[in-house]
Amino acid sequence: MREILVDLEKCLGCKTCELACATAHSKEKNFFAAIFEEPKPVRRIFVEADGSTNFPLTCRHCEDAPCVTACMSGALTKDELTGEVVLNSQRCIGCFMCVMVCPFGVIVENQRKAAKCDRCAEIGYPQCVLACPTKALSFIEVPVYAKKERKKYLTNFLVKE
Amino acid sequence: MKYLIIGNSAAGIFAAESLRKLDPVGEITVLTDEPYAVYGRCLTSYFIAGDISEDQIFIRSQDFYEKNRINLKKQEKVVKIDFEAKKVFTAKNSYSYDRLLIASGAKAKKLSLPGSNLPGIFTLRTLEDAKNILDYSRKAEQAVIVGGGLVSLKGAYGLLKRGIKVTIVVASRQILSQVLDETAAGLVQQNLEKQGMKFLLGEDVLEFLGEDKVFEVKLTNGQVIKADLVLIGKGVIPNVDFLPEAEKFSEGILVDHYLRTSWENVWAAGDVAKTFDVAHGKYRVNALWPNAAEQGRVAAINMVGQNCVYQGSIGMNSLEFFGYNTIAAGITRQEEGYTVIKQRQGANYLKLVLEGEKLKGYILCGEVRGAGRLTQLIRSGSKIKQFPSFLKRF
Ligand SMILES: Cc1cc2nc3c(=O)[nH]c(=O)nc-3n(C[C@H](O)[C@H](O)[C@H](O)COP(=O)(O)OP(=O)(O)OC[C@H]3O[C@@H](n4cnc5c(N)ncnc54)[C@H](O)[C@@H]3O)c2cc1C
Repeated sequence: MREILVDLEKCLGCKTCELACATAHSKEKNFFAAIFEEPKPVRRIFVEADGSTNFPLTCRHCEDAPCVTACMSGALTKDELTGEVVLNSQRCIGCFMCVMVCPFGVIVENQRKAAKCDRCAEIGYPQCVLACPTKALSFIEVPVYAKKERKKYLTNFLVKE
Repeated sequence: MKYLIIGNSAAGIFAAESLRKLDPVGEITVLTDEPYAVYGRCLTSYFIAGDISEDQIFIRSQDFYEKNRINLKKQEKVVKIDFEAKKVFTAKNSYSYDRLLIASGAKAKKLSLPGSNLPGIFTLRTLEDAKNILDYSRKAEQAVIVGGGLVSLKGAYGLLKRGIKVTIVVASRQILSQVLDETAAGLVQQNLEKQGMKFLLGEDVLEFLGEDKVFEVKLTNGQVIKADLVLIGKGVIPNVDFLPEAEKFSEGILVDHYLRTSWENVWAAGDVAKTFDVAHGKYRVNALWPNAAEQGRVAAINMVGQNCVYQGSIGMNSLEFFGYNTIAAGITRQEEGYTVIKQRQGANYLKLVLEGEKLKGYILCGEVRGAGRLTQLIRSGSKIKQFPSFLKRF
């Protein structure tokens, strides 16, 4: 299963990924055009800081994703083959039950519907990874067991507040 | 292995799906007394509103049952279970099982007031209800909604969107009294009033007037208001009629941490199940979609023989009306004995309810980003040392 991974040592918190993400989800897919688009393109990656540690957070495509169980419209599903949590905007009715249960807080509102990382499905490759100047983000194959470990780590990181 | 599931909704379907994933060969049968494939019960009000079409209400693809090899038996109302013989009886047939899941959900409470059987008086629980309401609403101008809970408001929204005038009669001094505090309820109400809804707080219905159909509603203060459609939203009761000594289960079927009932090889999940509530620290029914679906998933894991402890349910609601969002979870109203933080900023409102350093509940109105992190804090019981940084907008 492929995943967007973060190297904490390398992240400087520059937020280039946030801009690349918003641009990738704009109409024009071009930064200078995207700035002026209405409604404003919405980013789906968020750089969090904890003291000196920076952490870009985005959809973890959880194993037993709480957003999938909470989704009452059938818009969020887990693709068993790719491991991806897929959001079908056509079905989304904007109840935001997913926002209520996502432990990472990475599902946001976009034009009264839910929006989250889709690994830039439209473009074909996560643009945050391409844009990251320090290569803190990578998009690689990971074994399932490692994924579980990381989720634990990440949850602890978040809960520490 | 023969798995039998009573119920074809959130709990039943998430269970069936998980069973199939975990046991590729077992026989899975799902019974429902409704004539439909699985649909989003919570979508029925959006259907009334015209926000979604009838096919969008079905939340799984048409080949879902076939692909997952799930035998769906529609219009099969369970009337009795013989736990000794491991058999479930419907009016026409009987089904034997090795493992049984009771996911029969709940039904809308009816009122027994003078006139409450008049045509034009509805409850909203099923797709059938929604269709009947929609049909009837084409001739209606003025609707009265009895009750100020989530289903009432969603129903009212649906009718309002169809151009019907709605008045909501609420016995409490605020709407959504099970979910929100007064401040948040006030914000939601204001927003709905702006869209044209009318509210009568601290009032109740005495009787329904009309001859061959409902025409007026008489309130406790003596006032009589016109109503050619009435929607009653006074909560739900678990579907347990088929159980022996059913009255014992009027508040739900008590389950343990594995969602097992006291009968052997029988589990329960969803609106029919009384589970451990993590915020309140006691057993209760949290009749909500996310809880039902999650419980269905966990019950399935246990039904195939793995041990999976259910992390507990939590009262949590997300409501969206005309672009104004509110999310609330856990303990939101009770303040005595808790540390309460409240912040207001225009239409944005935040409330955190803490016991010592542990979060027990929250309300977010307006901007709701990151709500799930608060839900997670309630679940994990972790200590909060400082004001969560992602809420710095307040
Ligand atoms: C209008 C409306 C809006 C809602 N909005 C929200 C919301 O915003 N958020 C939220 O969390 N929840 C909401 N809910 C509640 C949510 O729909 C329920 O919590 C959820 O559907 C519970 O799922 P369940 O599987 O436990 O039971 P149910 O959905 O009640 O399904 C029960 C199933 O059992 C079957 N059944 C029952 N008795 C028998 C019998 N004797 N024999 C055979 N089959 C039987 C039924 O046919 C059905 O398939 C809403 C409900 C309504 C009506």
